[in-house]
Formats: sequence, structure tokens, C-alpha cells
Amino acid sequence: MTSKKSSANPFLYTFKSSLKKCFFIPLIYSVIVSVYFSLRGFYEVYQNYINQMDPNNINASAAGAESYLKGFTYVISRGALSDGVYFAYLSLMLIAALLAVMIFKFICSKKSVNVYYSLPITRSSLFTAKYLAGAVMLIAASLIPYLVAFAGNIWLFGFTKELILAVIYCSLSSFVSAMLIFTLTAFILNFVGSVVEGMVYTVSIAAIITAFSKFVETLFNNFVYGSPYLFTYWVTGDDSGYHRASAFNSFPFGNPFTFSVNGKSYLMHLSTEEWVAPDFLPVIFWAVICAVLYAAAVVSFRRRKAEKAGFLGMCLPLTQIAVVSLSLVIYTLVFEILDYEGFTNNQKSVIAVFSVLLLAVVWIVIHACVLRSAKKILKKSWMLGIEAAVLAAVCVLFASPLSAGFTSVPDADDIESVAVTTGVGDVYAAPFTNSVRDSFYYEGSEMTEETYFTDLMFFGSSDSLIAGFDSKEDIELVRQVNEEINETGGYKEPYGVTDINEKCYDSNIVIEYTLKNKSRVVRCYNAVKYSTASKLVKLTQSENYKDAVIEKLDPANNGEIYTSGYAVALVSPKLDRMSVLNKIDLYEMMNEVVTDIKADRMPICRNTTETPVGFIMFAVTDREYAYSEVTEDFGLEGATISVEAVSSKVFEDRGSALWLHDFWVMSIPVYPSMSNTVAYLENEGLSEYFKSEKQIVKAELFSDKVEDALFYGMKSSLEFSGCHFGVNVERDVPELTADKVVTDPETVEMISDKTLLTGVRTENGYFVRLTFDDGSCTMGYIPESLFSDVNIK
Amino acid sequence: MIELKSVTKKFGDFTAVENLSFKVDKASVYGLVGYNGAGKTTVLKTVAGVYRPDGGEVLVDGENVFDSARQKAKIFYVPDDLYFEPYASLYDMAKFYSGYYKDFSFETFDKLINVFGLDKKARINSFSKGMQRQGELVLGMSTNPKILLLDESFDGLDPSKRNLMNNMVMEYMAERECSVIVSSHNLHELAGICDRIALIGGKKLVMDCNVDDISASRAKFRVVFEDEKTQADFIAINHKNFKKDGKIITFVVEGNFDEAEHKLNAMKPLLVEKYPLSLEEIFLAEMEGSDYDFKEIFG
Repeated sequence: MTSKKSSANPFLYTFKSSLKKCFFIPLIYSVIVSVYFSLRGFYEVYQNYINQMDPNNINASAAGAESYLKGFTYVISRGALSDGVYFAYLSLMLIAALLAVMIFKFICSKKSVNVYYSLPITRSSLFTAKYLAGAVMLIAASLIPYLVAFAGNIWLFGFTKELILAVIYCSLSSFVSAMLIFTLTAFILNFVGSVVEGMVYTVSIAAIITAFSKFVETLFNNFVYGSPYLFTYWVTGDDSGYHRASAFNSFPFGNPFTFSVNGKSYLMHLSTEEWVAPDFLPVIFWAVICAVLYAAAVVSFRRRKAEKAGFLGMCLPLTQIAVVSLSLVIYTLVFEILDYEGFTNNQKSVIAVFSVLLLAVVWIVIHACVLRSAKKILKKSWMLGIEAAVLAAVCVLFASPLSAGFTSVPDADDIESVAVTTGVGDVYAAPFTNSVRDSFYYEGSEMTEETYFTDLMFFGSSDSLIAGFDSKEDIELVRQVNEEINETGGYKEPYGVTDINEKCYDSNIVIEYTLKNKSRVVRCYNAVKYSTASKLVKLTQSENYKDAVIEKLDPANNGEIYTSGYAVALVSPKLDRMSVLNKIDLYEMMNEVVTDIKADRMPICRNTTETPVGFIMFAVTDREYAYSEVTEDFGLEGATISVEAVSSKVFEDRGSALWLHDFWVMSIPVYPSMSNTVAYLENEGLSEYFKSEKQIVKAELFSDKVEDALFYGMKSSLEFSGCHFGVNVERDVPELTADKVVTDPETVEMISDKTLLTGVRTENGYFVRLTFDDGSCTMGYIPESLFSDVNIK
Repeated sequence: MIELKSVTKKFGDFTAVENLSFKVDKASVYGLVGYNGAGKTTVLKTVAGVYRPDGGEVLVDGENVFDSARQKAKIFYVPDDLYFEPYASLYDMAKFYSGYYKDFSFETFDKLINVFGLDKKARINSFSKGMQRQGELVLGMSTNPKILLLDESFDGLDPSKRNLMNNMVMEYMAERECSVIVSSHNLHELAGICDRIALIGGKKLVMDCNVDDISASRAKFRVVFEDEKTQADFIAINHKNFKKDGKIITFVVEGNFDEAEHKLNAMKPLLVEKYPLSLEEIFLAEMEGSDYDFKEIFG
């Protein structure tokens, strides 16, 4: 018989028993995540080892292989600290919610609440003891995996101040986010009678911030033409870089449930030796919020009515949040799926009705689950009335002309400066990169005779804004352009509009106003009238634009454009030959290009009629990567062929497409006036690569299609796109009926001399298809002003 | 001492008990009787501090019991819906309660386990409902409470176990001067153990009496007369529940029995007999004329 007397300490006992019941959850998590971190490191080490053993890898070495082989024993690398962060984070959030449910579920059971609420411990002590147990477990779960990674990193790479700071930040921010979820779940459980409701409402509240911001973004994106939401664009200033406009970005401390994982991106910099100190301010902020939430949870726990336990529908305000959250998510998802642009007024009305109906359906379904009584649902239906009225009011506001006010053009007196995409192709965009939003590419796959001339008429750059337009004239020009674009209200079908100036084309124009009060106003558009685009061309003739181009291209500023191991190609002016070279000193060559630009020897504006002598193209990425893509795509693994050899050999031997894959391709037209560049190419013996290898045997003219196109030069025996450049020998050119077919060699030569193969069409003219002796084609354009020189009728 | 002062408890729009007041002394057993849904459990949960009253207060030794760890340390509540930790044995639950009750005695626990013949290492969910009730009572008594709240704990037990539990509670109450509140929807379940019984119904206590006092002050008379008598003939005697079956007349007399007997004898009856009242008869006598539904509480 056991004979002992209790020495009870209810607080301590509650704490310890909660730990005992749930410790296996963070333990399993810690083990899994630690193993994941370790194995991820192992995988990385193994991959590097394989690469070093690869006989085709010119950088492979026995020492390198030995080094990586040694890495097998450590099975963890610095990279693991960053790669596993997202997995660890998501798991930890689930663990936090699960722990809260496990620890506090007793208040949702009629039976257990009888026991716990009658125990000799105050409610606040009971809650705090259990809360602390959860906190301790989450501390362990937040810390252990990172300590394992930390130990592995120290073992492999040694101790650094940055590493310890990274571990502290990772652990602390993960812990704060996890505690927010844990505290929120515990807080919500105090108001409901069932665990299921607690979970649903926790998810609803956690998601409502994102759901609401996405909803707002969707409304703006679909109803407010010019809204930057859901666009990705380049911003200028101190925080320059690619930016995705978000309704939530205006909140300084971000989303409480994602701030930590977003903040961890600096770890990637750690792996590339670019240390970015973590920002602890959001951590502190959300920790304070968590403390406030804890205090509220204690109060609500003390005041909780035990009789709620076991019943559904005990907290209708939380039910309303769930309704709203779910409605917003579904609403946004529907629009994501539709991915529609440019609604008519009728469509907007339908959408407004649809949103209200959607809310009603969600409301009824959720309340049917919770209240399980038609009578009760009817009694509470006034809530639906209010919610539907608010949603309808919001939709009507956005569907009405009033919403245009959201993207009104700022007053000229308030504008300090403007940054803008040039719209007609700076050197980063047209003609070769053709880089507009992916959604416009759909036309390419549906190429018909009718759309042949329009499928690639995209212009404007999705890359850097050209900043610094601060003169009164430039600001007024941009404002005027902005107002004109606003008036078009989106893409309009160009066919049937005879006046070229009234035609509206797909575009990608971003305007960023920096106001005198230092705030930033961004407008994004996807369509523009030709007349409006023509106005924007003027900006490319400014010194500001030239300076921006020089800043980008000058090798002295390298890092943004140029990367090590770049691939370079020289292209003939008729676009019938491209040679990929690996012996060119691109920096040296671009120095000459920049010198020419500085001396105004490069017509930066694309509306030139000067014929280029050739093009310099280079990949803005790593050549090794591009090379490996080539070998993988075309079954050339193991072949010891240089890039240069591949470029000339393969399209002779294989007669099929060859792509050098890159993220981005820069194309620089070389004009005869660019004396420094031309001299450099000649001195280096590179100018021969500009010579055509094929003979043009036929020229076809298409007069009736010319009005529908804004760009020309994209259809050639060379094909360029936003992500690729290469040679496509066997092009599948649609059979078009030409108005005039010329085969006489002299006339063909005269036409080809006058044909512009790249550039912006600034006047009406005639499209030309030049056919080479191998059957491949190039599409070009002869402006009306030059056509009189072509003596054909 | 437990004191309920004008306690009101509402569940949403529904008022379960309203303005309820009563006292339970030390070393006494207070019986709370009422049909299902009358509010017995609500009262007990409010006394245990599980429910916060919407009006009034529950005092234990003069202190409001709600959220008072000190006062709750004196109370053990045995609910109708028993709760045990998942997969726990009685010993596990003993350890659980010993973590909260300073006076928890494993010695008492072991003794009582033996008395009831329970297996303390076996999983409780393998026990019958009656065994679980016994187990919970064992756990409760092992905490050495000054107040024991038993919510229909005797209902449904077989007679021998009920007697055993009755005796156990009585003995414990006497030994530890414990206050016991025991509820039941069946008056028979409480017969013989309560010092005081309250009848609850319609949100209120409709009757609250000391069993000994009421028994001592009331007696049932059965008389037979040669000639016909009506109730009016007994107007001089303070009586209730007058019934006539042929020549046999029964009624309950409250107050001075000797005087009543003397008056009856003066009427020259053929037979005069005096009996003590059963609990049921006391309640029937007291509630004469009310619309209380006695069907359930008399089983």
C-alpha cells in the first residue's frame, strides 16, 4: 500500500502535467526538422561531390571531390540553415496550433471543465501554467533545430558573428510567430464550445489579414484601371528592386504570421557571403502584441462561461469573422481562376451580385453547421443583411465611376519627380527581349493569319523604371500620358479601328510618381493607344534616359547587368546568323558601346531608321548554367563541345532548334555611327560575325496588314524571346498571301536594304518577308517614307 | 458552512435557477431533490465554482467560492458526468488530484479502494458506470474535502453498493465534520442519509426542511369510528392529507400528537393508530395543494 501525503503545488503540477502530456509533439518536430536540416545538407554535399566527379565538368578536381567527400561525414552544410526554413516554419505553426488545442481543449468538454474549474487553482493560474508549458515547448521547438544547424555549421565552417545572429533571429522570430498562433488559438478557445470551432476560427482570424488584403488587391486589380496591385514592377529609390504591390505592404511590421519567414530571406545572403543584418524590430513588435493577446486571453479565460463547453455556435461574432474570411478567400480564388481583365460595367454589376450571393451561401452554410436550426438561423439573419449590405456597398463603390478616383493622376504641383517605363522599348526590352507580362503570350499559341502581325506587338519594359524625370515638361508629359491611358480604360480590340492613333495595344507601362511629401504613387497599365505611346517615345530622347542607360550598361557599374561566365552572341543585321562566342571580353566591348552612347553615337531612341550593322547579345546570367541547359535539352551530355562549337555545329548538323537558356537577354544594336564599337569589333576580328551567311532569294510585301502592327522585326530566322535566344532554322512560318512577291535578285537586294528588321513602327508602312536560300524567313518593315525609294508598285 | 445567497443562473435566455438561497451546516448532509432539469446540477456546479452565478453568490466559510483556490481546496465535486484522464487508472487519477489537493491521502485512497474492491491499476474506461462512480467517490474522499458535492452519485447503483456508499459518506461526514450536498431526482435514493432535504423545481426551492424536525413534528393517524365521520368532524385537530376509505380514515397531524390523540380518543373511536411518516409522505403532506410533479421524484 502506498502511504504518502501530497505536497500539492497546483500551478507547478499543471505546468508539469501539461508538459508531460504534450512534450512528444515538439520533440517529434525537433527531431524531424533537425534531421531534415541535416539531410538537406547531406544532399547538397552529395550533389557537389557528384559534380566534382563528373568528367565533363571542366571545373571538377580531385581535391574538390575529396573535399565534398569529406563533407559526407558532416552531413550538414551552411545551406541547410536556409533551405529548411520554410518547411520548419510551416510545421512550427501547425505545432503551435496543435499544442494550444491539446493543452486547452479541456474547456470545450463538459466533463473535463467540471473537473478543471472545480480544482483548487484560480483560473488565471490554471491558464498561465498551461500557457507557460506551451511556451516552453515552443521555445524548445524553435531553438533545437537551429541549434543543430548551428552546430553543423560551426563544425564545417567555423563560428562567425553572423551565424550566431542568424540562429538567434531564426529561433526568436519563429518562436514569436508560433506563440502568436498558440496564444490566438488559446484565446479563441475561450469563446467557443468546441475544438473544431476553435480551430476554424483561429484559421479564419489568422487568414483574414491576408484574405482581406488579397480581396482589396483583387478589387483594385479588376475594377480600378491603373492600380499597381498584383503587378510586379521595379521600384526606384533606396529600396529599389522588384516589388509586388500589396495592400498589406503599407503595414510596417508585415503579416504577424509570415513576418518571420520573410525576414529569414537574409539567410540566403549569408550563403552567398552577402550579410544583411536581420531586423529585430518586427520581432519585438509582435512579441508585444503576443503579450497583449496573452493578457486578453487570461481575462477571457477567467470570465469564460463553463456552460459553453460542448456546444456549437457559442460565439457568433467569431462565426461572422469565419464567414467573412472564407467569403473573401473564395471571392479572391474565383478571380484568380478567372484571371480576367477589363470588365465592362455590366460585368461589374454581375460580379457585385455574385459577391453578395457568395457571402450569403457561405453565411448560410456556416450557420447551418453551427446553429443547426432554421429558426435560429432566421433569427440571426439580420447579421447577414448587414454583412451583405457592406459588401454590396464596397462592390458598388468599386464598380462605379467613383473608383477611378483611386488612380487619379497626381497634381503637377505635388510631383517632385517621375519614374517610368519608356513604353516603346528601352535597351532592356524591345525588340529582342519582348518582355511583357506572361499573360500576353497567349496570343502566340493561337497564331492565325489574322493575328500574325499582331501577336508580338507588345512593347514596354517590365524591367527597370527609368527614374529621375523631374523637369516640368517631362512631368507634364507623363501626366498627360497617364491621363490618356486612364481614359482608354484597358485593352480594346484593335481590329475595326482604322485610325492608327486610336488603336490600343497590349503594353506594360509603369509610372511611379514621387511626390513632394516623399510618398510614392504607382500606376500600372497593360494597354496603351499608339498616339499615347508615341508621346512616351519622347522620353527616350532625353539626357535623363541616356544617363539611365549608361548607368545600367557601363561595366564600371557592373553587378547589376553583368555576371561572371556570361554568354555572348553576335547577330547579323538580317538576323540570319547568330554566333555564340566564349572568347569575347564583354566588359571591354561594352566599354566601347558606353563610350559611343555617351557621345550620342547610339540612337537610343528606337524610332530610328538607321540600319544596324549587327547586334550584340549577351545573357545576363551564368554561362555554366546556360551551357548545362543546352546539353540537357538536346541530349549532348558528355559531349566536350565548347559553346562556340555548339552554336555553329549543331544547327548545321541537326537542323533543329537550339536554345541557349537564360533568364534575360540583352541586345545592343550596333549602328555604323557607333565608331568606337565598330572599331573594336574590327580590331578584334569580330565584325565578320555580322556578315550574313545566307542569300535572300525572295521578298514578299504585305500592304494591307501594316496598320495593325506597332513592332516589327520579331519574325526572323533567328528567334528571340524573353527567356531564350538562339537559332531556329526550321521556322514554322504561317502561310500568308503577299500582295507582292519579288524574286528578282536586284530588286530583292534593294528591298532588303530598305527593310528594317528591328525597331518601333512610328508610321504606316509595309511588312516584308525575306526568304533565305535555306527556306528560313525574316520579317521586316518598310516605312512609308522609305517606300518611295523602293521602286516597285 | 455553505451559504447560497439569492443565486440566479441563466443559460442564455433560459433561467435555470432564480434567487435561490439556502445554507448547509458543517457535518450535515443536504439533499437536493427535483425532477430532471429542475436545476440540481446547476446549483451544485455553482457551489463547486464551475459556474459563475449571474446573480447572488455562493459563500464557503464566508468567502465567495467562485475562482477562490483556497475555498475550492475544501471542496470536491463528484459530477454526474464523470471525467477521467484518457486511458487513466484510478491510481493515475489519484496522482492527478494529489497535484491539486494538499490534503490528498494515498493512505485513504488505498483503504477505500480495498473497501470497494476496485483495481487501482486498471484503466477506468474498462469499469462499469457504477464502479466509476465508486472510484470517483474514493478519489473525492481521498482529497479529504470539507465539502463533498455529489451529483446523482447514488442513482442507478445496486442496493448493496448504494448502502456501502451511503455508509461511507455518512461515516466520512461524521468523522470529518464534512458538509455534503447530494442531489437526486429520486427521493428514495436519499432516504436515510439526509439531515436536510430541499425540493427544487420551477427555478426555485419549493421546500427546504430538516428531516428529523419534520419527522418529529408530524405523525400519521389511522382511525376507525362506528358511525360516519367527515373531515369537518376533525376540525379541532390540526391535520393534513385527510383520506377516507370506507370507515378507515387517515390524516397527518403536525404539532402536538398527544393532544391530537387525546381529542381523538374523546370521539370514542373503534381504533386509533399513530405512525411515523416516510419521506414521501412528509413531502406529499407539505406539498399538498401545489402543482409539483412528484411522479419522477418518487420513482
